[in-house]
Amino acid sequence: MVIKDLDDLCMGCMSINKTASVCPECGFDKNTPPSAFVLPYQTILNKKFLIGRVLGKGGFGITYLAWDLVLQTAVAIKEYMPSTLVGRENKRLAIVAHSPEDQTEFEYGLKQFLQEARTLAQFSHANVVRVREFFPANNTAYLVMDYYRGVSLQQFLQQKNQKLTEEEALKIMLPVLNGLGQVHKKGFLHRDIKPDNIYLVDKEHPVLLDFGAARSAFSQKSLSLSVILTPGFAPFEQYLSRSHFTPSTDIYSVAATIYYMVSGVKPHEATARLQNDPMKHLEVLEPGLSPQFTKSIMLALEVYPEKRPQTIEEFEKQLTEKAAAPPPPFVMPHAPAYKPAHKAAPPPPSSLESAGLQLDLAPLDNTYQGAGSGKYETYYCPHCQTKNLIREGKTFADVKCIKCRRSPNEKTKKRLPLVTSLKIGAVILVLLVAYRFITSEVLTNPTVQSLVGPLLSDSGGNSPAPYYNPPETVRPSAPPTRVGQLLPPVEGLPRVAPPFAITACEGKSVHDKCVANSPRRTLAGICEEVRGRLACIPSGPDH
Amino acid sequence: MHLFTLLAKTLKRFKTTDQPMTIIQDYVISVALASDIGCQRQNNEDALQYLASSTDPRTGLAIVADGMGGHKAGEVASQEAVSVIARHCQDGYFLTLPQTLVTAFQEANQKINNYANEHFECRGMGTTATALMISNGLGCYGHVGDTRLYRIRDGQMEQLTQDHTLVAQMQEYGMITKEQARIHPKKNILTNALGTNPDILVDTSDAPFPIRIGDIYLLCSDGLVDKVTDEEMMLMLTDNSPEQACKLLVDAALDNGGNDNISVIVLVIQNKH
Repeated sequence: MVIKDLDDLCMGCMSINKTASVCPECGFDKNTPPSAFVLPYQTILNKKFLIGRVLGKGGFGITYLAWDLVLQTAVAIKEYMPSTLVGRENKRLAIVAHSPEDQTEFEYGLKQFLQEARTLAQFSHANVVRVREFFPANNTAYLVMDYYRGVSLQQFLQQKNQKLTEEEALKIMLPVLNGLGQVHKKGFLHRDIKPDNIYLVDKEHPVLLDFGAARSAFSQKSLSLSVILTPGFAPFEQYLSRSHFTPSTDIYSVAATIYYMVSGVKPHEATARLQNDPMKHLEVLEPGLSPQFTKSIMLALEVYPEKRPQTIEEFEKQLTEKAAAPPPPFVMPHAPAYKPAHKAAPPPPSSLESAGLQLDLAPLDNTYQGAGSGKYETYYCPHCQTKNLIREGKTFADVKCIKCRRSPNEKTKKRLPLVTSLKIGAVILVLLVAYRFITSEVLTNPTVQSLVGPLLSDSGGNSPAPYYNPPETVRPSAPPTRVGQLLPPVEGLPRVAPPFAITACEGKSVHDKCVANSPRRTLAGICEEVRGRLACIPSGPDH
Repeated sequence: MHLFTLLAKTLKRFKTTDQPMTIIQDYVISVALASDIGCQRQNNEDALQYLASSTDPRTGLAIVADGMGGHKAGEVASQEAVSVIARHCQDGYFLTLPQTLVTAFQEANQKINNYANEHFECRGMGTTATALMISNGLGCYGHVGDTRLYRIRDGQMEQLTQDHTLVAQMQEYGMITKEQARIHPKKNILTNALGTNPDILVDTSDAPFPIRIGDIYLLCSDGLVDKVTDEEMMLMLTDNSPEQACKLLVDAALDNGGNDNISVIVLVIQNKH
């Protein structure tokens, strides 16, 4: 079917639908903008590929869903774009290296990418991803592969959220092993096998993807590039640059994947397993599995390469063999508990030795000796009076006090913290304003005078407090005789404190919380309002 | 109840696999060491050493130890710790493994403990120690005590080790803040040291961490940390050669009082070219 209008093509699944925004087949929303650095939707590459959404991002590049305009079918296109080395400018298609050194490394990687394409082009196996085309563009290169509709093994496991049985696991992995065997026969190793790289087409037919890390088993490593590996699925020799890789490297990764599939537990990182292996035997985790199966998996997960099965055929045979004789008595091959070892570890088999792991370290002998072993003198910091030391040859301008961190030459001024000084300034300001208010012409205003006057003359009769009932004993004009020293002294009165005076509310305003009575109310005989403030009047014999 | 346990069991499975890890191979380590007796002490109880491979500039082991104990016991302890750890890692085949460092530290602990038991006047002797091993693009550290390992990456300074001190525990429980810890009168009290106890707990990095070009690693004894703030340290380390940085750090610590022994090792991961 020929497509008339490219806009009808959904960028999420490459199906034709004329809907406005959300595709009914895959749920892809047309209006979601793609993230930075990726090619925009509907970019046309090589005059025949229409770019759609991103299928995945790996260490070395981005994989897009695309539409082959000539053959009218969906394809997957992998773009070589190592994000640590290069980037893409906004709204432009061409990629740019971050620096000249990165450019050199990028170009080398590009050659490797082409090599990956050539490697894959040699295979024609149902379980190995098929290569259709390879072309350069935008300062980088693109690998066109078949697009498989399905989910990765990792997604499948997450969706199912259930451990796989032995049969289910073998059903998926035996075809993968078959394909991998072909790869090995041609002299190549995959080196990045993990659940993310195994694709389940229609939930049944597995395909091995992402040969980005693949290298010829016989190539020399002249330039040491970065190594990308996935912890847990990579055997120890992958962490080293100078070790020799064998098919057992891939076998380890496959066995790690199967371990993960049937137990739900990711294998321990290889570097953690070299001494006192913490990884649990599959027999312990899943007692229901057949002993031959678990034995062959654990054998393939051996830390040392030479202990693992050396070819795929060997591994396949071990996995599928039905034991004719009764199985030998169960023996745990790994140490059950961690015991701190006080002896040095025994030397490993020759495989790792030849990898040049043995160190020949020698101590470096150029320690800089500071001049502190010379003379020193004491001085006292002028700011905080702490005793300090000053080295010979140094002046006061060079040093700082150990406690207050100020130079002795600094002028001694008391540093007030900012908040305190602000508070003091605010209080001063308020007082000033109040003073001016009281002594300004506002006071001479007759209405204000009538209001304020009574207050100043101890009447208390115009108090705004609603609950206030002035005790009859208080005469508006006469100064209260019972207050004594509870308030600021009234002129003319001697400052005498009555014997039972309670000073709890001294000086507090009417609206303050009463210490003796809560809620605040003036009680006759106990609280008395004087000059707009409350005073606690004692209830002793004085009354 | 059955459903609940079933649910609990299923929740634990099939979490997303880790992101792939990039291990660089194209780098060199440039390093400088500095040690100073300080302005007040009679002897230098710190010991430090850096071991390099003559064939491979990408491999290195840096150790700093701060000893304590009267009668020169501190010196003995720290020197012993450094030499034992160095020898253990030298004999080893496996690099950048936390376990190698753990066994090295335990061996050192045993030796110092035995020495202390045999020599009565050295009772209570001990030492802190921090070791950083870098090889094949991976690094890992082992740590006991209050010597520190810092890393500057992408303009951020991070303290990789946790102090085994009383004030560090108080900080963890939220009893005091970092600034209060700096000036706390009891900040020198250690909760863990080599040689004081037959059993110790060694801190290590959980797994070897990948190193990057431009990383700066600093191992230092508490003589530096007490006197120089983190910001000052970062200023002195960035954009300086390791030798310059070492000189600046030691001089700054001495200028600010310098009453304790000061030791630093600075490692910079640089591009091969």
